[in-house]
Amino acid sequence: MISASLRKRIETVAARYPRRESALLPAIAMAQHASKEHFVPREDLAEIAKLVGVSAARAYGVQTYYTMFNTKPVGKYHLQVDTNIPATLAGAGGIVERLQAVLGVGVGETTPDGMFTLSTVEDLGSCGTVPAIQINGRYYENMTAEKTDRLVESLRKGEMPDWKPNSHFGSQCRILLRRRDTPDSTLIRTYVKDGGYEALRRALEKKPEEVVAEVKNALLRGRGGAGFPAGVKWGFIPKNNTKPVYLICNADEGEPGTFKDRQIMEFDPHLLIEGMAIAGYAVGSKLGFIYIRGEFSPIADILEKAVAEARKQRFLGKDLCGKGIAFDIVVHRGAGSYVCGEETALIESLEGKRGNPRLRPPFPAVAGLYGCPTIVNNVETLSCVPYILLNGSEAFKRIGTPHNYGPKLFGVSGHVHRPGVYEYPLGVPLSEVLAAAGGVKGKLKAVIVGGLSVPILTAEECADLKLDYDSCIRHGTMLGSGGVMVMNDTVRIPWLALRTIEFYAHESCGQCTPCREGSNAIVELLRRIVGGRGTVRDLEQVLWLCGTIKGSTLCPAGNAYAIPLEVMIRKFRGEFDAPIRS
Amino acid sequence: MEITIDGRTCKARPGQTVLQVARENGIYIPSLCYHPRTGRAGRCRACVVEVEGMQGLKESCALDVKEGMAVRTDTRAVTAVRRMVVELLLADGQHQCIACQANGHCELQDMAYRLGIERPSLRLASEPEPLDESSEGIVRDPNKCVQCGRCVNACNNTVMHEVLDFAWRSGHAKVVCDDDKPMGESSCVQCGECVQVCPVGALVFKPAKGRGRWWETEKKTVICPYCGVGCSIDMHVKDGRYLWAMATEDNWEKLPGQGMLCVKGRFGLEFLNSPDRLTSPLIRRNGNLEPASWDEALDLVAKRLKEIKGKHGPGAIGCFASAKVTNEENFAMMRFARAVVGTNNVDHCARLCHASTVAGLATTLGSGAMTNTMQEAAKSEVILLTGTNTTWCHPVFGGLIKQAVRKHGVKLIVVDPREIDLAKIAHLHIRQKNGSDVAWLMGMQHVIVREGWHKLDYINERCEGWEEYRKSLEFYTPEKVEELSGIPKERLYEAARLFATAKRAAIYFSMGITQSSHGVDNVKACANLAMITGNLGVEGGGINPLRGQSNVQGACDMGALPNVFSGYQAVTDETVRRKFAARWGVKPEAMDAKVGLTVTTMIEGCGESIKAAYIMGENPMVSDPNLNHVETQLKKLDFLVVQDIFPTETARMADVVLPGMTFAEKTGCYTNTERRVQLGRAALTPPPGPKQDSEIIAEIARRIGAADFPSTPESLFAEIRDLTPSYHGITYERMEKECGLRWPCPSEDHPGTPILHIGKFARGKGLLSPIAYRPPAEEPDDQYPMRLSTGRILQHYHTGSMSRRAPVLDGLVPHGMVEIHPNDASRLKVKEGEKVRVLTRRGTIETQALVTDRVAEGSLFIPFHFAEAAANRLTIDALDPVAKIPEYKVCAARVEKAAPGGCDDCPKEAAS
Repeated sequence: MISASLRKRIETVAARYPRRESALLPAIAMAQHASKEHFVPREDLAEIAKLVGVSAARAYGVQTYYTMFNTKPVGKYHLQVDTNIPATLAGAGGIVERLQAVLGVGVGETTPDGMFTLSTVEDLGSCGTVPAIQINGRYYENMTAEKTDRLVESLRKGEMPDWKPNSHFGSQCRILLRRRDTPDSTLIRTYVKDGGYEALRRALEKKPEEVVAEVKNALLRGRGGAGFPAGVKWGFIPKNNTKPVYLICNADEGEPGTFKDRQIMEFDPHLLIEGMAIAGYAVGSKLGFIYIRGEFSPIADILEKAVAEARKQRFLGKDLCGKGIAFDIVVHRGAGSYVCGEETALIESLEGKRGNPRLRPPFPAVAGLYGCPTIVNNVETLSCVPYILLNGSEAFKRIGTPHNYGPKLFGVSGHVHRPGVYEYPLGVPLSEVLAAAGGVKGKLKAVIVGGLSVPILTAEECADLKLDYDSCIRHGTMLGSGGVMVMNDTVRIPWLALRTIEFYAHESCGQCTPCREGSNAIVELLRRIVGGRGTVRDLEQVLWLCGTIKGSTLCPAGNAYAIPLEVMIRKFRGEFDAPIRS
Repeated sequence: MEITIDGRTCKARPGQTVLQVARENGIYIPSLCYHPRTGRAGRCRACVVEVEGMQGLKESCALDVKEGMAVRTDTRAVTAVRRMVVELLLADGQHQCIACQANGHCELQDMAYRLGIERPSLRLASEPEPLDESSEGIVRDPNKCVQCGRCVNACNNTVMHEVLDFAWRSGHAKVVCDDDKPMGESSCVQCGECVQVCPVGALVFKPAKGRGRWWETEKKTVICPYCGVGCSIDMHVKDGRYLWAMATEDNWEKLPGQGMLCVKGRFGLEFLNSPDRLTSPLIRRNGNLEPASWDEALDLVAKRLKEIKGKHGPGAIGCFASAKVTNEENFAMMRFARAVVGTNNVDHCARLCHASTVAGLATTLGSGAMTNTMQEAAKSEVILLTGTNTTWCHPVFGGLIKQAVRKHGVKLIVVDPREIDLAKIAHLHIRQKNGSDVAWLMGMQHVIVREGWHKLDYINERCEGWEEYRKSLEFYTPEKVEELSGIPKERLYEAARLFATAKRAAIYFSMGITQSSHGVDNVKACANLAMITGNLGVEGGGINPLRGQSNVQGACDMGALPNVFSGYQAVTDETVRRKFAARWGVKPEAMDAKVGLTVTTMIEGCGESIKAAYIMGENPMVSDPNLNHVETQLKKLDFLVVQDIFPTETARMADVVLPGMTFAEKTGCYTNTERRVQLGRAALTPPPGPKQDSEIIAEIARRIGAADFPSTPESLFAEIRDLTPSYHGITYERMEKECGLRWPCPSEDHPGTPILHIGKFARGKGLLSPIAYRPPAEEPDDQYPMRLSTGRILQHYHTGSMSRRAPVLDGLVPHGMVEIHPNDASRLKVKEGEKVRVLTRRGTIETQALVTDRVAEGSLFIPFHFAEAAANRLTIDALDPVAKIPEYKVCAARVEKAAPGGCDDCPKEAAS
């Protein structure tokens, strides 16, 4: 039975969306949050389904798709330890062991008194402050064995301590991280005092086409990973369109090694909001969404507060800056799915469905959310827009290198002394960024520069690498999201390969045969090899699968692991052959 | 346009995909997840191709053709992907073909065969998962599932039952029913569409398992014998025996069922194999029905009919035609009654269902049939659905309505006292008091005219009677309507506004409107509404009665009615009589010039005006109202002949029983609810014993003296064409080639008529009718305080003679029930499933309580399919004065807990 008050809250949320079904994920999240055992039982799920207007099967399909939705009771404190690559490089394995010892349970188990459930999860977006544990929606970062003990002690007393993370950052451009360490940086008065929302006023004085032209001219490339020019994307909306246009900010930030968008949302939300308002005006949208990964729920709260502030001062709402232009933002939380970072899967998820990527064409700009023209842009991309409107596209182009313009956030994690997010112009040498991050711990072996989906580079290969889209391609990799994962010579590449494919197999949406079956097949084969039980044939089959999965999947996720795995094996073949020969 | 595939030039049309063009040209491209009805999916990746000038591999099922496209399916990359897809699917070792029901009919098998993959080269760990055999008709094998998603797509977007979806993710992804319930416990209605589209053996029909391999069966196409949608079924027959049913795929978009079936069409044909089949004529001797030879039986029938005619006149004989037999056979019965017996006492069960429609629409529009087509549902802007539980009684069409609402934005107004399935997706659901339909229909019109939403131009040009009609609307103020029907004023206003301000609005109705003591008034009120809003003679509009039986429209068209010959030509018209007499070789004076008796008045007259009855394919002992009275009446007959396929309740009372043929054993045409005449060809060899129904009629006729009475479908159809202008252009060849033809079809080059009354009405001007409000014949009182309504359920059909002999249908719903509201149940201290007695002034039955809020508080609903708990023991035989149709939908009743010792007044368990 869902309570009357929960029912009312679900109704309130449902009213924010053009279609009621979009409230399905928020409704399940709210019901789970309200439940003592942190899960939504079948009867309640059926009620939610009816309330939102979807079938029982659909609601169940959604509940079971997303990692954050529990289908079984969970202890009072759900300790979810990030064990992805950056976290493991920082010692997450030890934290898991410590917790197992202290709590007396294994991974996936709950203590007999019902107090603690221990889980391991994929990248939490805290690569600069790992090891990290998410507990009931809050993050506990920079974990050590000692802090782990103190944390458990506190929880046993029923208290969730309030520990601020110790993070590193730096900014040469002072555009995106300008207010990173300003006190009260999330408040609108701080933002306005620093010149905020002036760009929006300027934009509203131009025609929408002029705003699009300015951004096009600035050659602002998408910062989510693809590097596709935002201005060009904005121009894809059909000329004689009569349907509503939607602007979606992709704040899913699930790419392992990536934790940059978080810096903007958590510390300078108004920068993003202003960027969205300008973009919304430019593309003719009256309603925008920020699709933020569910794990970032506290950051979603910050965004919602900022949106409310902006509305109050008419930087959002029905009458922006008194110009009669309408644009508003709905903050929508995801629920644990890496694939929802892909724009068509994100749109499916926003529609209240499983996060399944769609066939293209049609492209979102033609038929996206609810079948209407939709523009999806990354947080960082949208956050560059105010600068362009304030200073002009030419000023933007003075930052960076030819065809790779503007500031970029680089998140450095792994074997460095000061992991964190550093803002530099595109084209900065990797060596400079590594130096800002305190230099490499130990002997450098390999670097993955663009998040986990791009090919690995050996230490030799990245010696002269410049970090921009085109240079990375010339080096046989991609800039991607700019998530730089640094590995020293303690790292065994077969382990890295296995951990990589385990991640993608876990996140696979399961739609298409090559990825659903193939990713899991590669996991099994690599497990044999890493475990010393592998054969020559197993490695051959891994290469065969990678080679054939490449280019054959429904969405780009197949390439995201097939290519990097092939490259890892090729560049470090000896390490893969060794366990087989012995 | 032209494209090339592997160097071959292929013709292509804009809008086609590469896969479609390849298939049309016989070029092999495998696909596991694409299906013409479920559309492109892009999941299996088996159909990828390379295209010159385009980077990478493209799924051909989603690739639109462009002029000059050069496609390659024979490259290394394409072959590598196909091999990998098969290898990955076979890798877990769980695809066991040896005894699989889909062996030989499996798209994965085909792919593996073409690629030469007998043993997978990848071996992964896996444990077999248990089968789901929990449902009556379908077996699910998750081990064989290739996750193509066709079933999910079909369930959610085609038939729209929304039972299936995917759950979990990655390698754990699987198809589930509802929230992962076993199928037999889920909301699945067993329509079988998922099985039909499954490319492999993950979903198979339980009754088919082990009975025949796909390659052992012959495919025979028939028209479903159940409801008036008239779905086309491909029966799979082995050694002359029916095994399983698939919806016809050839030309599916042109067929009424659109490639879908409901649980009855899917699993209900099993009655064809019932051991109960009548295989020998029976004659009552010493109180018992005993086997006899055909000659004995036919001679006796002819002799007795001649005697009774001689003694009491032709009007003492009543002929019951059948809504289940072919048009040819109905025509034969009609000719028999009129030419051989010399009476107009010929009628059939339309009397019990749409007699009000025929009378009401014939009077107001000039034609008593559905004015538009089922395919137009998506073209309406608003649909008013009343008195039809469409997803139960015309299930496939109910699915088309759901598609119209969900996919085409059609707004649905449902006016029904119960919360039927369609009410759940309706824009507006209005629950009126049973029997108050004239009030709210005229009330809507009152509001429409008051607000000026009526189409005055249309009315002036095409209708008559406006002034008198308009005055009559004054009575139906929203306040009055609320008093009479219980409908709040605002909702009446909203319904009127939605309907009248829509560009195109259609009315669909069925028994809730017709089965009333003022059924004709109800129908006329609907006609008024359609006329004043200008919705007749236009696409997406119309007044659309949903005819219940597979050939009730045809039986009416063939003149199996007391007042008309075929084509609705009046028996009272001398010119018409002469025309028929001339063709039949009888004297016009020997034919009856007066309108004959109806089914309901014939029953009334048993023993007095009616001495003998010849009943073909009807079961009044379960279908007629006030059964205790019917039983008493039938017993008064001097002579009763029943011609049927099973020993029905009526047959058991007969003096002579004649075994006829099932629909699958005869050739002839049937007319569905949208006037589409479709040909059914004999598909099975009948067992020895029964005769063709047309042959039986001819044999009796000949023995009475009509030597040249036609007995073959071809000869009968030739007569029909000659004598019935609206059928004149219809031939067997045309019906087969053109997927049936909608009448009027006056000539062989006429394409048929989808929409009636274009430009002008069949009678010229449409007649607007003033209607006085009359309440139902029997309303609740102190003794019988509850309102009883009767009707149908999804799983069974009418008197159950066929459906209850189909094991899956019987397994789904083995016995009857009474729907009772939870508040009433708790007041009466009745629990779910408890045996209760239901009493009316006519009789008493014992049945099981089904506690549900589907039915309104204070109301009851009982399906009439179950002879041992026959709803019609309770119903009232109050008749509409014009149409003579009974008021099945309202009478007064009382519910009591069942006495422990059983019930003396209740019918005994029917002998099996």
